[in-house]
Amino acid sequence: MARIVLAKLGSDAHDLGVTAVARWLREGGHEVVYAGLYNTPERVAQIALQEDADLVGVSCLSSDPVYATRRMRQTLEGVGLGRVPLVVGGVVTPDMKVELSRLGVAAIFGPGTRRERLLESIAGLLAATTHARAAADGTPSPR
Amino acid sequence: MSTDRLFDRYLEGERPADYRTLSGIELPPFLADRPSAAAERPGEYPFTRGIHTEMYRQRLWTRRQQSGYGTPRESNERLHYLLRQGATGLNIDTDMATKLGFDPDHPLFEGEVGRQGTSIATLEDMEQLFDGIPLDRVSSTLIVQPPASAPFLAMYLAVARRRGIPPSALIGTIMNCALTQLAGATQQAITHFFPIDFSVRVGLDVMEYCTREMRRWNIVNVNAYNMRETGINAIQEAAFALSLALEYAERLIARGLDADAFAQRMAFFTAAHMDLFEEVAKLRAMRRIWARLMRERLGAKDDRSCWFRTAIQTAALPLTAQEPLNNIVRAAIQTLAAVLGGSQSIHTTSYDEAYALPSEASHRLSIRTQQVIGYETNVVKSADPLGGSHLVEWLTGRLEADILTMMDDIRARGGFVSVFKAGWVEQQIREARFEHMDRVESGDQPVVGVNCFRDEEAEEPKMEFFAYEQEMPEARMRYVREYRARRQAPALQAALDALRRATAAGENVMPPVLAAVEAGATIGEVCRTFGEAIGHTVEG
Repeated sequence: MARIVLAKLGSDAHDLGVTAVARWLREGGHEVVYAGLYNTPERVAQIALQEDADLVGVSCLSSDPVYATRRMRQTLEGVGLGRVPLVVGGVVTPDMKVELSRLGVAAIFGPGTRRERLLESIAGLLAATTHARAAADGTPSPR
Repeated sequence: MSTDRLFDRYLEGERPADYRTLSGIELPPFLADRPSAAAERPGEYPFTRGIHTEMYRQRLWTRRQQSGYGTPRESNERLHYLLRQGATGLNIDTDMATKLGFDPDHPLFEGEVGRQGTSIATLEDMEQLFDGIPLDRVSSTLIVQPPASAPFLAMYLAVARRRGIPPSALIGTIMNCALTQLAGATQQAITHFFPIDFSVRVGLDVMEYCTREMRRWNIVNVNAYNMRETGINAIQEAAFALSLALEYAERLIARGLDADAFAQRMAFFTAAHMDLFEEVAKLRAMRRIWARLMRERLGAKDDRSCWFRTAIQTAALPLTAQEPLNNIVRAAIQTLAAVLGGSQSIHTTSYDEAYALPSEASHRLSIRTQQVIGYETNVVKSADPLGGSHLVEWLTGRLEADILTMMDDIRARGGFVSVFKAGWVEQQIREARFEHMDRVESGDQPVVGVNCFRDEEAEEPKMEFFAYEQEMPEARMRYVREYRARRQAPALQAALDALRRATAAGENVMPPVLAAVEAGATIGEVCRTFGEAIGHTVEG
């Protein structure tokens, strides 16, 4: 199963959603490293490096998801983790969704996301990355 | 659910899935015995039926909508707008940097300055925020927790002094609750920036100072609301808040203050959730418990010291991002619960809360909701209108017993501050929030438009959300740097040195904080000096 790093960025301490998602993913068999509150994008990227993360998720409620995501995306690319899928959880307005997709966010999980849909979506992203990595390495895909 | 299945259910008889209140109390089909508590009267000890004999017949609750965003200048405009719409008190919310005691150019708050509330760093900011607002005629609640509550209040006092208003004439409230202010109340949020014991001490310093110098000012708003928002129930909300308030009171007495000197200036901030009768009963039970604690345990003689006074915000946890217009109905019912429960002031949460800070239009709707209840429904024309109701009196007694049992448990474990530090509160909150999530996920807790009666084909709502000025965070950063550069450095340095010494020596921090603020110190500089004095640095 995959190793997933989840974090709250900046000073936004609304962590009900991200702690619930962490639990769902653990129960779904994933290894979750929850970095807690008050992280800079640099700190999250370092954790993702050290943990050899397969996927990174950030959670935004009162912070600006577009700003936070752009910084996170750039920082991941800066440390060579540009291929690691970045997902965003939180309340995102329709306008912001468009912007987040342009930033290359792999998935957005808003209010009311069901447990099964979240797990399926994450599984799909992980399979796609494994496939892409294998292709880039020139080795046959495990599928 | 398919239409066919719905028809079947209607035929069988549509009924609740269970007969429990939100906090799990099993309700009987009906109650026949008239409870003895109905003999109580409003305005008489133990004040179960309200702290005043005539309640809203003589004075409506204060319409106090929380507000604050962007620069102090922008927020000031919104404050004037709210007052024009019929708000009768102000409720100032600051951004996270301000609340946590940092200036807007600190890297942790990059991109977030002025987002969750207004950005206040300097005395000039405070002057702008309250421009044109008479501080002795309009009451303001200042939503800041210790230790930042000390410089924030000092700036408010300095603005008043410059306008010739003495501290004793100021009306309002400093929230000043060390443990429960931060959303979610997760332990990390409370312990990350300052040790709990230090925050509690500064909170008590502020309370003591206000007690001595500001006789019309509320020295603390014990924040039950933010804990309730995590998903804990009404019993936990009341037991946690009352236990914490009792501990603050005992610590003030240990500092040599008389209960009658400060108890009438202590106040609470509680939630009004969806369970209408349980919420009314909760407020009635809290009033009865608090009155008895003050008189029987702390020896307060003055009736006013026994008043449980509370500001109420309607709960945001049951509001939904899906079908957001439904939230207007929810907030109206919650506001009614707050009124029937005898609240002193109300903030009706905006229907767009899940998405953004309120726009002018949603702010106005919140005020209108309260005005419709206050001016059109006549529920205000007799005190404690649900008093004597079999159900409400029974629930009041049942909640009182359950709250007292939990308070005894907390006391046996060493008191609220102690169990908080030990992680017991965190554990209770964690269990409650996951149980809440599971109940919504499974549908055991019906949420209309989310897990039942959901319109799968509905389009996303077209709503105008509040949007920020893109340049604002950058402008605030530039401002605070420019401000720092134009002060008298020697006077400022002397004031900060005096503050450092007084803090390390365990003296009341308020007098040296006032001097530092007058010398031009920012909130960030005052709080950094606190950290230096106690040898605490923030990681990361």
